[in-house]
Parts: sequence; structure tokens; C-alpha cells
Amino acid sequence: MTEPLTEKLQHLRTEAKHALDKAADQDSLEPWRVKYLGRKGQLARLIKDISQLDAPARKSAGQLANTIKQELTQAFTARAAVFRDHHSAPATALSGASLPPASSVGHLHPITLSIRRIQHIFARMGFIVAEGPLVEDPAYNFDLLNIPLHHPARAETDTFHTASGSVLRTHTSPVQLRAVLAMNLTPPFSVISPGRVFRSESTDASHEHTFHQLEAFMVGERVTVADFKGVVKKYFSDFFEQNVTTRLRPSYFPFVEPGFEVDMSCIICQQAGCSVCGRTGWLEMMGAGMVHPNVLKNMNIDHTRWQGFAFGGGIDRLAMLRHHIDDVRLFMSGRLDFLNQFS
Amino acid sequence: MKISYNWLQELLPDLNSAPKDIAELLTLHSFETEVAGRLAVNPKVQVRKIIKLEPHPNADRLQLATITNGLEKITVVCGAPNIKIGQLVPYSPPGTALFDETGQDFTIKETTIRGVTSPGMLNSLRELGLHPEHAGIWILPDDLPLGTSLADHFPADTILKAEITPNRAHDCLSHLGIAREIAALLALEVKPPPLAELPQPSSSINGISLGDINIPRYMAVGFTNLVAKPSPLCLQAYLLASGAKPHNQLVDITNYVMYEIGDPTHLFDDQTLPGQILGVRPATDGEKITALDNEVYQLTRDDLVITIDDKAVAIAGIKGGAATGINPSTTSGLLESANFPPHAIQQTAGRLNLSTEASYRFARGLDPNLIDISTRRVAYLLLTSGAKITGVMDYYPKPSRRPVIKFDPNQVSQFAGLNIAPDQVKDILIRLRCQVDDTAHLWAVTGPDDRLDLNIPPDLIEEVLRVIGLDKIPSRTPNITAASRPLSDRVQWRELTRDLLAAAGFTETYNYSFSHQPSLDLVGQTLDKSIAIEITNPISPEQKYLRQSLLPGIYGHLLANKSKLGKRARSVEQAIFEIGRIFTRGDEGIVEGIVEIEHVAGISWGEEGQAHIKGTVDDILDQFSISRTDLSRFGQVGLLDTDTRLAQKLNTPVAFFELDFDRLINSAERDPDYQLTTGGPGLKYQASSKYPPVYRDLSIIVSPQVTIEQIQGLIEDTGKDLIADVDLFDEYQHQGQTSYAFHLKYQSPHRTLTDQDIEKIHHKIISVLTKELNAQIR
Ligand SMILES: [Zn+2]
Repeated sequence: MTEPLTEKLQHLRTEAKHALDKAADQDSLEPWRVKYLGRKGQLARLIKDISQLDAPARKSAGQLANTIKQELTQAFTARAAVFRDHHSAPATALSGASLPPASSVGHLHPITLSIRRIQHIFARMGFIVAEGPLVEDPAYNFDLLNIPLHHPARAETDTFHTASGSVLRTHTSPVQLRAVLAMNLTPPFSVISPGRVFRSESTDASHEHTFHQLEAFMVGERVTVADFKGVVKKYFSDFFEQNVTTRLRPSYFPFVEPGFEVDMSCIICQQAGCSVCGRTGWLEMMGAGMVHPNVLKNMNIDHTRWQGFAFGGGIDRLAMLRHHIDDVRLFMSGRLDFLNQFS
Repeated sequence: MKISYNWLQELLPDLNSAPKDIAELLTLHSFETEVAGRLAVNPKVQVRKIIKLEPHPNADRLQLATITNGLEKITVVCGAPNIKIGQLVPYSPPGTALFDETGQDFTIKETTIRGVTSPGMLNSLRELGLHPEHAGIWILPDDLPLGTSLADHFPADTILKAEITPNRAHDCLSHLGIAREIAALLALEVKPPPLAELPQPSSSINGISLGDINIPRYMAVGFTNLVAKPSPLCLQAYLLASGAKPHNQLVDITNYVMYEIGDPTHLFDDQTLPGQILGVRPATDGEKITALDNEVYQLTRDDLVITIDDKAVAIAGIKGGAATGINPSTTSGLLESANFPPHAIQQTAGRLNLSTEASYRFARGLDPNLIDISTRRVAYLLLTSGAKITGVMDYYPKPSRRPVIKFDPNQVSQFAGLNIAPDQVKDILIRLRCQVDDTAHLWAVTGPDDRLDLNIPPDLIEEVLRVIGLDKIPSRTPNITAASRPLSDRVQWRELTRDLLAAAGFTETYNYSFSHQPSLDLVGQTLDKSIAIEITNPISPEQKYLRQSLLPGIYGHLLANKSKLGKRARSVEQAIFEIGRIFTRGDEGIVEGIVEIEHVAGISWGEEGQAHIKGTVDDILDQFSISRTDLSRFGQVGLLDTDTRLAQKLNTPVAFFELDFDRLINSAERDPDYQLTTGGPGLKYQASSKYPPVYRDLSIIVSPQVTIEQIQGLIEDTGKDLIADVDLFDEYQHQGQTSYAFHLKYQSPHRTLTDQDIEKIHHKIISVLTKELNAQIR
């Protein structure tokens, strides 16, 4: 090999960025992507060569290749967005994108990547990230969230129970309470909590007994339904890199009042109607509402002074929509042909 | 709940909205509602009378039914045992579209059944597409004109389906409730169903025995002059639209009233009752009752039964008993209606796996004042059919009243972020049947009896907002600034470690939090049961404990991919990792008795796996500025036992590490510096081919000027979509030439490749390489 691999990588980075800057329109983007980022593109070829290096060189080259891959992909996404905005065409530019397969550079789980994306979006809106136990005290999972023992909502939840009377948390909502009580949060505050949750149900392409939820919680003196709408719209629009519309429908969750179901305009068909949205143009994304006064009381927050919203929704579903994944079981499958497609 | 559009129109005479508009209105203002379909009888189906029945000459279980339309008669073959001479029945002539057991339609033809020709057939409800019932022919009311089209008497209907949320189950699991909801949203008037005036409670029904069970209200009415004949078709149509099967007018009226008012009642055959005193008591353990479905249910002391003189005659709130049910010879009856404790009904229905329309409503809670309305409604309909009342009992010691809610109308605007005038708030609350006293600054608002969900001010805020429309609330991006330190040290360290591992060639996997016995066996681990957390309702017996190590799961995932790996001879075949929690019993955790510890673990499979793992663990320790010599404090690094590995047919070594991530964080000698990222590109997942791959090796010798890229490019261009992967596994210099060895993975996205396919394409690749690069094939 005449030129060290790291230099080849640096050259590729410069050349690819230069070429991307020169791309004049939407049509010239795809050839660029195939040439540099495609499965059989130049970067993929170099990454394959990394495996031939000895250990220390392999590590530094691997890190560099990963960085370049991220940089180029982000640059491509940004460039595609520029053209998309100009042409107001549906966001199909990314749909064919694929990155190099198995190589000596590893891959992060798509749920990890989605949670990173969520953290990024919410941190910019002033939210902090909280975490809580997976095995919960039923008081936190249910009672303190205004779901008493005999409440139908509790009886209908398929909960895993432990021999000592704990439960595997059925939602990330208990983290609201944990964050406020354990972190000594005082209003105003904004918290999100992404994490693993459990429901004792049989699995199929759209159901898993182990999945991931995002809980968000914002309390202030004048935090309103209008604020909730703004946060949610920004969340989904940023996550899917397109301007989505949201719709609230009345619903019922014991820990909020009023309670809403949140729909998002279908990002697959742009509301033209498709199989993903059941031809309705809307996707059901999450449950939400204004925090119930009983829950605020249970957090020792004066509900006559403070008010706020909470919402909880599936992260798996977000990742499935973003990456066109059609089977939720893939996330826990450990299948490398699946996992190796993400980075 | 299924909703009949015709029924709504009867309750809302001014209703102008089409079914799909009602569905959208309710979805956006009340609860999810959709148009589920049509309910109509094929106009070709006729009303005929059975005038003769004789056995089929060649089949024991078939009959020949001679039917007439008043003018002419024909004979059809019929397999249903429930028909009798004199009954009116639906008849489909050849050419009529009917429905089979899967709901698909089929057209009947004249057929010969065991030597007898049948011009058409008599129909069950299922064949007419009205109900799944197929046990017998649908017997029609006696008063239908012979020979007419059945559709003339059975109005076509549109069925809506609503997902009633638990808070609205008290008032909206009924047509009257839905009609009131629509009336409030569209400012319409509801035409209330007529009710009977009952005589004063009398001594002709002898008392009640409730023990210490909390039954807020219990009503009973005795009737005579009952006739158990088919209901009028319009009533049957409403029941069918609601999803219920018609029986006879006595049973049908009680069901009709449940779907209309929302409150279940039960009618006993008076003559079969074993005594006088009505009661409710817990069942005794092992007590058995045969219910109306003719199933025998074994009860426990947690279940409630309705009794007459202490003998169980019904499973309270769920199903009546068979022995005391309405039958064709019933002439007198006892109507009972009560409030049962919701949770008890829920538990019993769940335990007996017997969820009925009645139990569904009782389990969600009903207002005691409804009992009076439903009872008087049943009485009205029975009296209209000619029945007489013999006596009334009403046990209602402490009448239920809705709470008065102190309500500041300005709170609606404060919650919504939208200005709503107090006048508008008041108007909406009144449309929702609330009593509003607005004389003071704080209003006094009382909800209607059946709205058990209206208790506190936010409940009223919700009512106002949803009636106005949630879409009227603007969207406002909150005026907040980015969090200065959004991520805890733990989250930052986790993300940094993930990046480090990915850069080192590890792919991240997620495993279940459950320990999996077969995976433990694979790595020769045992679970420490003395500190294990046990799940009492596990997914499977093998997963009844929470995991105490990440390794078994990771190794299980490696093995699951084995068939797709191992075709290479790289120094490192594959490396995977997980960061996740393990669980033990103990006192140091957040939740009492539970300790959750975060671990990081990985395995590397290949000849250099051990070095790979060692180097990676050193990097992890370096990242935390922890001395490498302290490794043993945090976990272990090792090689999987050779025998264990060979038993899984893994010929190359498997190296692993598992570290206590909590301890690493706590021992860190520096602060984490993770930068938030947008989580990578939104690329589209490509499902792998269902068809099996085939691997072939290719070794070639070329001049040193030829690059790997050139070779790979030619192979891929020649192989087109049949080449799934080209993998270089060997390279060396020999006599001034370079030798390369590749693994080629052949796979088609569309079909299974044959040996011939492979030979053909492999040879083509070889010839192209020979020609273009002057390559020698070894
Ligand atoms: Zn769609």
C-alpha cells in the first residue's frame, strides 16, 4: 500500500465535500451518495481495508472512518434538505440512502441513535434527562400517578410482577415522580426520560413485551396546552426533518386531565393515505395531557400555583418510522444484518 | 361500542350529519369513532311461511321444508333443527348473495342435496350477514306480510364503532349517551325514550337480603302476561346493529334497554324462582352455577351471586342462571337491576374468562340513578307488549348526588393558552347538562348524575376545551433556553463508552432484561437464585428471573448470527456489546429490596479476539482515567471455555469482557465530555433477502499495479444484484506479483440461486478478471 489508509480517508473527505458543494440540484445528489456513501462506494471500500491493519492503526483509522461517515452523511442530509425546501418535493431523497455494511467499524443500536436524537432535540428546548429504575415500586408505577389498585386502567395493564411485590415498569411516567422527589426538582422545570419499559403481552410485528418510551414533563406557572402543542410539533418536525402537523384528540389517562391522544401527519405518504397510516393520513404517536392535580400533590407541588403537561410515547415507533423498519421485534433480535445497517 | 345510525336518528330527530361526519365529530371531540360498515338485508330475501316439514328421504339430519309466499309453495332442503310448521322464515331464491362463515359473500344456486333438488334456502342470521349466529334458521315475527321482501321491514343501517374511554364508560356505553354527546356538540335536542310510571313499592315482592355487601341500589319489578315470542323486526334490527343476537321479546327488551340506556337489567322466569327473598352474597368456594350459556361455572368466595332465598340464581352483574332464565313458556317474570361493586365484577369476569356486555358496564361503574330509568324503560316496553306489573321493590337507602365543583371559569383560558369568555364556558357546561350557579366569583357547577367523571375543576376544563375543539388551541413554542447541562454524568459516560466501542469495531445489541436459561447454559453460567428477582408471570418458564449478567444474552445473539458469519478468516470475525442493567435482591437500590446495576459487556470472536478485548478494555479504563492495573475491581476479561465453544461448533476463540459500569462511573478520575449528537442519518432499513446466500472463494494473482478497488469493482459490476458481498481475506506478495483471496457472497433478493446460477456467474466474473486485469486464477 503506497499511501497510509488514514491519508486516503482524509483525501476522500476533502474530495467528497468538494463534490457535494458543487452538486447543483436534487438529481446530482444520488450519484454523489452512491459514489461516496453507497454500500459499494469509496468510503465502504476504504473501511474494508481497515480490517487489514494491525490493532493500534486499526483503531485510529476506524475512529476516523466513523467520523467521516457521520460528517458526510450529515452534510448530505443538509444538502438534500436545501433542495427539498426549494422544490417542496416529498422527502424521498433519503429513502434510498444506505451506508456501508459490516466492517471493522461497529454500529450503534437504532434505539440508542433515536434516543440521542431525542436528547439533542429536547436539550435545546431546555429539558434535562432523567432516568429511573426498571423494577418499580407499584406506588410509583401506579398509585402516585393516580392509578389506584381497583382502577380499570390498572387492571387492564399487562404488568410483569415480581415475587417481592414490585413490578417491571409499564411506562416511563414513574420517572416524573422519581425526578422531582429524588432530584429535588422545584418548578419551573422540564424533564424527559427515555428508557426501557415492559408489558406482559405476546409479541408480533407490532408488539414487543420489552420496548422503549419517552416521557416528557414540563411544569411552570403558565405552562399551557398551547405550549404542549408547540413542543410536540417541534419534537416531531426535528426528529423527522420535515414540517409535520399534529392533531390532538380527547383521550383518558388517569395521571392527566385533560388527556389527549396525539396524532402526527403521516410522514410516509404526506397524508395522501398509505398502509402505514391505515389510509387516514394520521399516525397515532402518543398519549399526553395536563398533569393531574393529584399527581402534582404527590410530588409536593402546589397545584394551585403550578401547572404543566406530560406526554409519553414509544421510541421504537419513532425509529421504525424514521428507518422504515416494519417489525418491532428486530430491535431485540440481535440480528447483525439489521444492526449493522445503523451508525 | 357499536352504534346504530338509525337509532341515533330516532333519538336526535334534527340530526342532519352523515355517519362519517358523526364519526369525525366524535373522534375530534369525544372518543375515537369510525364507520364500521352497513347492516342491511339483501332485497332478494323473502318472508315465507313453513307449511309442511318432512324428513329428507336420504339424510337423517336434513328436512324438506315446504314454504309459501301465500300464493305458491316450494320445497327446500334445510339442515337446521329449530324450524316448526307455522313459523315465518327468511328464504333466499337462487341468485341471492349470502355470506359464508368467513364473512365472504357467495351466490346460491339451485342445488341437489342427496337426491333432492332445493330451489334456494332458508337462512340463518350469519348467511344474511347480520350476526355470527349460525345455530339455526332466523325465526321472524308472526306479523310480517307473506311473500314480501324482508328488506322492506328491516331498515338498512350504518354501524359506527366508538372506543369509549374509561372515563366515559359511565355515560356513553349507550345510544342515549352517544346521542346526548352529539346533542351537546351540535346544540341539538334529544328526544327522551318514554318511561313507565311505576306503582309505589309494594309488599308483593318480599324484601331483600344484602348482608354487608355494598349495593347502593337494588330495584325489582314483577310482571305477568308475558309472551316469549320474536320481537318486532325494528327492535331486532337495533339489537343486531349493536352486535347482539335476538332471542325473544322478553330477553330482547332487557338487552335493548341496556344498549339504549347503558344500564344492564335481568329478567328471571318467576315460576322457576326457588323462593321469595332477593339477595346478593359471596359465593362459597367451589359453588357451581349453570349460566344461560349452559356452561357450568365454579365460583369462589370472591365472586358475588344473586340469590332467591339464599339459592344462587345468577352470577351478579355478569350472567343469569340457566335454571331461572326466560324460556318459551314464560308467562311471569321478575326484573331486577342493581349496582354491583365494579372491582368485584371485573375480578370475577376476568377469573371466569366471562366478559359480557353487562360485566363490561358494571366493571366500569354506573350511576345508581340510572337503575330507575332502565327499569322504567323496560317496564314501558313490556307494558306496551301487553304485560302487567305485579309489584315493585326499590332499595335505595342513600341516594347518590354528584359533587358541587367550585370552578373559576378563567382557569379554562389559563390552562389552554387561548382566551375563552365565561359566557361561552357556561353555555358549554349547560349543553353538557351541568347545573351552573354563576352568581359568585367561583361558580358552583354540578355535573349530571351519569357523569361520574366530573369531580374537580380540570374535569370541567377538559369538557369545555374538547367541545370548543382542541384544534382551536394555538401552537406556541415555549419561551425557554437550552439546558445548560441536560445530561447526567451517567448518561454522558454511557454515550462516550458506546462511541468508544463502536469505533473499536463492536456492534451494539439489546437483550431482554430476563435471564434466559438456555443462554446461561451456553456460557456455563448459573444464576444465583438466592439473590435473583423472580417474575411471577414470566413470558416463559425459562425467563422467570431477571438477568445477573449481560454475557449470556450477547453470546446468544452471536450464536443466532452464526450461520451468516464464520465464512471469513479475519483476525476478528465479529464483535458485539451491550450496556444494560442487571438485577439482584438487596438493600442498596432505589426501590426497596431491588438492586439494579448497569454493566457493559462485549465479546469478540476471532483469532485475535483476545487481544481485541484486552485493548478495548484498556481503552475503556483509560477513558475514565482509571489505572489499567485496577481492572479486577470492575469485572473480568476472559476466553470462553473451549469445550463450551466447540459444543456450539465455533472453531475460533471467543473472548469477552463484562464490567460494572456503575463502579466505573463512580471511580472516574475525570469529567465526561460527551457532546449531544443528532443520532446519525435517517437511512432506510433494507430487509435482508429471504433467500439463502451461497459462498464461493476466489483467489487471483495480479500485477502490483492492480488495486483491490479495481478488483472489487469488477466483481461487483459483473455480479450485479447477485453479489451480496465481496470480502478480502488474504493478500500476499509472491515473485513480484500480488495474490488476493476473496470470499464472494452470492444471494438473490428474488429467488433461491441454483448451483447452475452460481457456476454461470462465477465463471463470468473469472473471465472478466482474466480479460480486464490479466489476472491468473489460482
Ligand atoms: Zn400514510
